[in-house]
Amino acid sequence: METAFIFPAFVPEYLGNEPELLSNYTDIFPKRLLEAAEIIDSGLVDFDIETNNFASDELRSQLISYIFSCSLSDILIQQGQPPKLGAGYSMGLYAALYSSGSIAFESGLHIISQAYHQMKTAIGDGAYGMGSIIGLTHQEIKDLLPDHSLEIVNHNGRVSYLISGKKESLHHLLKDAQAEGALSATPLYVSLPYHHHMLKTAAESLERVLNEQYSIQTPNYPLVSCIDGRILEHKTDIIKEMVRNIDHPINWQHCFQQMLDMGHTHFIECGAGKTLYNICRFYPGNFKVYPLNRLHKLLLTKD
Amino acid sequence: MGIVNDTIREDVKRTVYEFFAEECEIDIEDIHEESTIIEDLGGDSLMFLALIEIFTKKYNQNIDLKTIGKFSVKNPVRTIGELVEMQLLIIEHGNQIIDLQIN
Repeated sequence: METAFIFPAFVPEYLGNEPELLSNYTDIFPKRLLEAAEIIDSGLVDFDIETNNFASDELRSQLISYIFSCSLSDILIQQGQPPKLGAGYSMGLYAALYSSGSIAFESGLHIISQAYHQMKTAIGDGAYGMGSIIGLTHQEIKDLLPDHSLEIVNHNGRVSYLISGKKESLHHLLKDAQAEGALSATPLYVSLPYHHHMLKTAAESLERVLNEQYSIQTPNYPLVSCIDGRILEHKTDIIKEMVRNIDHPINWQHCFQQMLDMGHTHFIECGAGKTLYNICRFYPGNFKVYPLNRLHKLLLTKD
Repeated sequence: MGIVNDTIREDVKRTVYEFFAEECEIDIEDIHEESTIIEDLGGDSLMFLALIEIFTKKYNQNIDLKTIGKFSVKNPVRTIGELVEMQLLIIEHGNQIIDLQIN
């Protein structure tokens, strides 16, 4: 069976038993966690999935998500399930790059950290955030946007979007969306306006850093851009994608449709939680997405 | 607008229960009228949206999604039983659901 790997961004909600599920296959996750603690942040070893104690720490959440995704990718590839194609949702791009051999595990940790700090610098002291609106179309949301302080940055489905920008404007927009007839309009617990054009200076800084400090390789399987659905096959595509991923909106539905159009029907959500399974499950088409808790149907346990 | 009889009532109930059993990976016997959609079943807004689309197709309705959104702001749904009742109201009243006064 030919599979495609899809990589979530940082995970808002864990299943709660991810380390246990991964330990059915190998002991790689605790090893990767220790390795990451030595490389980037010693506090990572205090991660507790039951209490999700890093939920309010965006950088650590991203790092933990990356470690989970890399660990699962390693397991799948070791078990003879190499993907033919892959795509990373938003910050899931870094794990996709690791999985495809484009960057080293260590590099991914550093790039995530540098990108985060560059985004922090770019926004200064202002209060920013993101919100989710379900039940309104792109145009209906666009009509409610007050000005350029808010942007529609994630297209997850025909009536499912994420908005990014100034926190105060976002608060008003979510109220307006609810009054307009959205089925749901809720804030996300992040403090950065991910994918907003105001992060342009962060993107430029990241581009310099990527060119000067990192060895980026041609991926050993093609990746699909979650920004515009392009196939990323070369080193230059990869650098460009990492840079644009900072300050450009993403269209996950288009990216997923591209993979379907290429004939892929089996997708493994390579990470913790089941965010992408939840987003994709109602897309039209004949396909299956396997989140971690359904992988026992595909993998061999270590016993 | 449609007429809700016992057959439709039973069909809506069965569809809702089977949908949540499959999507939330829960035994259908463990789902009750009082089960809360988010806390007990782990449901979310996307599931609500998918269910609306299932019933819209099944009962050939042309309902404005925003009307349902506005109705659910005034009449929030927390439990499976409330969700079944809301779907029945949508089938019965279509876009006029917004004019209903629910106690």
